Amino acid sequence: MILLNSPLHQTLLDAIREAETEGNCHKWNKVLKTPNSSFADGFLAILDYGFPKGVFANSPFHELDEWLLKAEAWRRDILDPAATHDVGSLVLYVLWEQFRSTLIQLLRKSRLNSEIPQSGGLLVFVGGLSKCLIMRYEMVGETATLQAVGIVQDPKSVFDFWGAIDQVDMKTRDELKTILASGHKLVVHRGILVHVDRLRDFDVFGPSIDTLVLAEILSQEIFESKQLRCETAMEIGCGNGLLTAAIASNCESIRELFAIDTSFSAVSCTQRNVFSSGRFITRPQKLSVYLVAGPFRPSLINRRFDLVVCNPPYIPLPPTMMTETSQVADYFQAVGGTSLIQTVLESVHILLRPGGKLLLMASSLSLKETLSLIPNDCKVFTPLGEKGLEVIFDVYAVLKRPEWVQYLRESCGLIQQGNLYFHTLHPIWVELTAG
Amino acid sequence: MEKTVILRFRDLVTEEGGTIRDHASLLEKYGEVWWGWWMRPYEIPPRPLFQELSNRIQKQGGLIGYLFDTGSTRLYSAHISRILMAPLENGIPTPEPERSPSYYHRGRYPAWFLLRSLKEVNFLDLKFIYDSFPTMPELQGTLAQLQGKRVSSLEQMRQIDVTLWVVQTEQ
Repeated sequence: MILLNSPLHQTLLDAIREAETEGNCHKWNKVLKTPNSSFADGFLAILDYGFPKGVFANSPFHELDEWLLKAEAWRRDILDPAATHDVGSLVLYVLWEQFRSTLIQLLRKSRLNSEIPQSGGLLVFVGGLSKCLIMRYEMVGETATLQAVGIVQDPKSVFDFWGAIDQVDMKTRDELKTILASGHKLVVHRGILVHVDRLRDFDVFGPSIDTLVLAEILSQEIFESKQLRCETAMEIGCGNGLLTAAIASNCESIRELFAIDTSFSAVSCTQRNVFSSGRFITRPQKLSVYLVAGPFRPSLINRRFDLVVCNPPYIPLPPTMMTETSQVADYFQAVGGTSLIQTVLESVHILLRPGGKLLLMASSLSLKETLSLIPNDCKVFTPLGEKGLEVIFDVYAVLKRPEWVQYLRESCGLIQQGNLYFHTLHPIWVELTAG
Repeated sequence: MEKTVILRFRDLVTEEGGTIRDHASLLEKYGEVWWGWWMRPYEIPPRPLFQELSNRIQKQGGLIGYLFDTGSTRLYSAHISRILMAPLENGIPTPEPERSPSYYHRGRYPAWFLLRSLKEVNFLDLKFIYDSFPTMPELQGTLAQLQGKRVSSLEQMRQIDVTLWVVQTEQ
């Protein structure tokens, strides 16, 4: 669970405590219904508060997951006029209503802008990335039906539900199989729906667990805290566009947003996802979004930014493959090598205004090299601490090259456990000190 | 005599007769259809009434309610098999989108009635006695003289500015 002490999280937590002491959920309802906090993660607040205890002590559910899987049917019981409601049930009801209405709005917009299928599966990451809800949806006119079919605890990859498949009944197994076999990847995180059509966007990277970790940190440390007044931002290597879409939608102060990717498909995918998730009409001030297809060059955009985010390729190449990269496809370049890390860190002074911040994803596979490239006059913060977050290494472009895997294991610390490989994510804030 | 509800509606988002036609067509397809009850901003949802009706539905398997089209002054009877009500003031979206007309899909309503039948009835064949106006408790005083009196005409009902009338009728 990623929990970074954001003020909005504290407000939500206080609202649950108030429900317990006051016996009503007015504050909880008010905070969750505020349009500006539509990316708020109420599940994280409940997990942090503790379930089932306090206000939830009378809940018929022993665990939050049990409720999540039965929430749609349970909701009907709550709506029965003859039913009596304890305040804990109302807290859960408000959260579920807000959650499902956000999902339906996102699906409706994505159906218009991004041509998502009539029915299919959604992977919804909640609770500070501690849960991946696998949900089935079906569009009905301008709305949709939703049903949670499985939950992955502490997902270590976006598609980390192999374990879940073994533990579920045949019907759920079939549902999960259908979602997996679909040509569409729909990932939801904090009010953003990213759609990747695997046929059309075949060379678009992610969304991977790395991107989700960065999105969670941005949510808690930038969007929810508002400590950094962020008017200009850029994402370098936008891929599917999750981070660009999150900044466009959830960063209240943003005015100018740039996203660049070497792949045309990635930029096109980013455009669809930004416009599907964006709440542009309701923004108090105008936002300009500039999308650039082409290699990143520090001097390309004559601007200094408040915020730069980058989930770069961080997988070191074995010396024998160094010469190959210039001749292979964009997708390969989006995966291997560490040259973008070097380019970005060397241009921090050109990219950031004084006080501006770069959020960069690093991996244990190339952490030493990354840290050594950070300019001395910059402040460095590691939101996940020194330990980082261990995740599954599931980059197929690498896994299909045994000599590359061997190099990573022997020289870069890639860990093998059974049939799986693991590495550790180390997101890093690099701040250009003012003056 | 039994207590029941008459719900006000008008073809505001459909062509004339469209509200009933859309519901009837889903009723024919699924055997049931959801009717969204809207109320005016100055009305309040009558929880005790809905609780009472809901308990009766559970005991009897349903009850007959009425739908009053104030635009065409037509009356319909409906077999109500379930009532759902928003526990808070935000309203609730359609409980089953496929079993509710599409114009409901983006809205939230204070209550939903699941209908198993729907047919036009002649007001003159029925006997309604005014019971109460729970969506506007402040009207109770003004309209006290109507309580216990027979509803004289649909026009008389129309002029009482509520979206839900509670009446006594012979079921």
